[in-house]
Amino acid sequence: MRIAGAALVACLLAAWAPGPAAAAEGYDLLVCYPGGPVKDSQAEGAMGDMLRTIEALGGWPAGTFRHEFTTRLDVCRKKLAERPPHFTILSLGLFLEAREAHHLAPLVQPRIKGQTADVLRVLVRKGTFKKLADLQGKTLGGSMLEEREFLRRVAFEGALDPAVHFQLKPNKRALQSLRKLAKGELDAVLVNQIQYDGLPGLPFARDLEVIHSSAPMPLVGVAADEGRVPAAERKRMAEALAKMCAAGEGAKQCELFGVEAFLPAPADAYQKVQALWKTTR
Amino acid sequence: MEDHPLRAPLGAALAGLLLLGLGPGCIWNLPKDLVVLSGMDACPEYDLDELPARAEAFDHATESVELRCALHKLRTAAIPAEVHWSGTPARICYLLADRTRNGDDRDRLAAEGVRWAEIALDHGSPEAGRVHYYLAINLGLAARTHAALAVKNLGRLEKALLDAAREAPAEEQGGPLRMLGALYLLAPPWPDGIGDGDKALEYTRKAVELHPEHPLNLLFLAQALLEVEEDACEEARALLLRARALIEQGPYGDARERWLKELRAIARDGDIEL
Repeated sequence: MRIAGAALVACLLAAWAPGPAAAAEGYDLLVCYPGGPVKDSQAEGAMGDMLRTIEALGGWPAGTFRHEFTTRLDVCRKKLAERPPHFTILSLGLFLEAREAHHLAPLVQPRIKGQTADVLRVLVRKGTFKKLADLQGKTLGGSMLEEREFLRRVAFEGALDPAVHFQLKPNKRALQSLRKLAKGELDAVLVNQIQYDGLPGLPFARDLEVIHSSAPMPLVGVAADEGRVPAAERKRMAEALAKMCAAGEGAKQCELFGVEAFLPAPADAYQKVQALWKTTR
Repeated sequence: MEDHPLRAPLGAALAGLLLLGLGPGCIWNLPKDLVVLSGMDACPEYDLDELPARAEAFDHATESVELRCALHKLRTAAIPAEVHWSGTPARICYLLADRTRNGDDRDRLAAEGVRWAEIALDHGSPEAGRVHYYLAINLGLAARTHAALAVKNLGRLEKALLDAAREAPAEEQGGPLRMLGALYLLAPPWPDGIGDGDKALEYTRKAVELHPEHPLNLLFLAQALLEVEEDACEEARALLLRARALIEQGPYGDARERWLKELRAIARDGDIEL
């Protein structure tokens, strides 16, 4: 199961010996999961536990990290503006949006099923529509329709504005959207790579087909504000996360949660999507 | 993860986990040690043969001391097979664990309930459906605050509840159906988890159809409606009002306040005024 990342972090290496002194004023971590099916209140306890383990993992004293979690885009933007975090776990859209203003440097990328990138696809019932243009004015469902500017600029590379081109029918639960598509209650559904990979397990999968695929887009993991987090601390965080899936209890948990590794984020990993974000106005 | 691996794999992964209402924890297996039951010298004398009949009356309003005494007898006396292989020991553990605030003690009581259920099933319990239900509900309680344990056992929980829903749907007035609905509502969604909003609605609706008298059936259906359906606020509000009345009037002991708190949280999350 891919119940990964934070849970892994939370569970790992609590026994590691404390290391260097903590940042004097502590660090803020902001986690934004736009449109996700979790209530912010549900996140509180888990986030606290997660951070205590990150602290142990990196050798920071307990209480060094504070956290905030939200599934609302507007709340996330407000938090970014009002209290700029030291570290972030953001959607790709929010990451691109906030990267310059918050000097965000990606530290690690998760590798899931051998991939560190994702592809968005538009699915329809076989034989109903051939191309995106045919879907003008039609309904598009799915769980990833919250960040419309990101979809317009990056996923569709400026070719169309989803908010104008489609009647958007967002649903936190992708499976519901797909069932509606199969029953003819939706005209199309946007799915990501993991959802696409899960299609063969659905009884109506053979009735569906892809009519559009985005270019691969990099997964986002933990990023840090270069202006506020010293290089040594960024390195410390990246190295701690990078060791997680290598051996012992960490490897066991990585396996359970479906993350193969946390890899250092290549410097150029986000160049293409960043360029699309900037140039596609 | 299930919804946004493209956009925030870490956040999404965390979110998937949080759907279970869990805090991450590093416990992978159920605890094996038992809760020490104190003050058992004052327990009433009766034969274990009488326990099944007495246990029929056990519920959330039963005094804890009576439940502890029953569990003490189960642990220490020679147990008749019909008691051993029934769901009664696991049910007693569940009733105790459910009201226990200390997390470690709750985990241990629930884990003991799981073991009683496993023993009963291993010996071909004639009440397998009922036993599956108490196995699942104890397992759920034991894993409630331990993410890894919960994730590891999601499939087992689902299977036990499906068996219980098929063989003993009336246990605890629709307990297997409402718990199955809750599991599908709270588990990480497709494609990585068994979470399924449509199934959550299906099972919670069935629980309400068959047992509208149990407040949790109404509560869970209201929650599923608010989570899964659009424009279901009126139906959810009506369910919550009925549930509140049932909770306030019913024999639910310590559970009453917990359920009312849960009810208020569901109403608040759904922007419903009661």
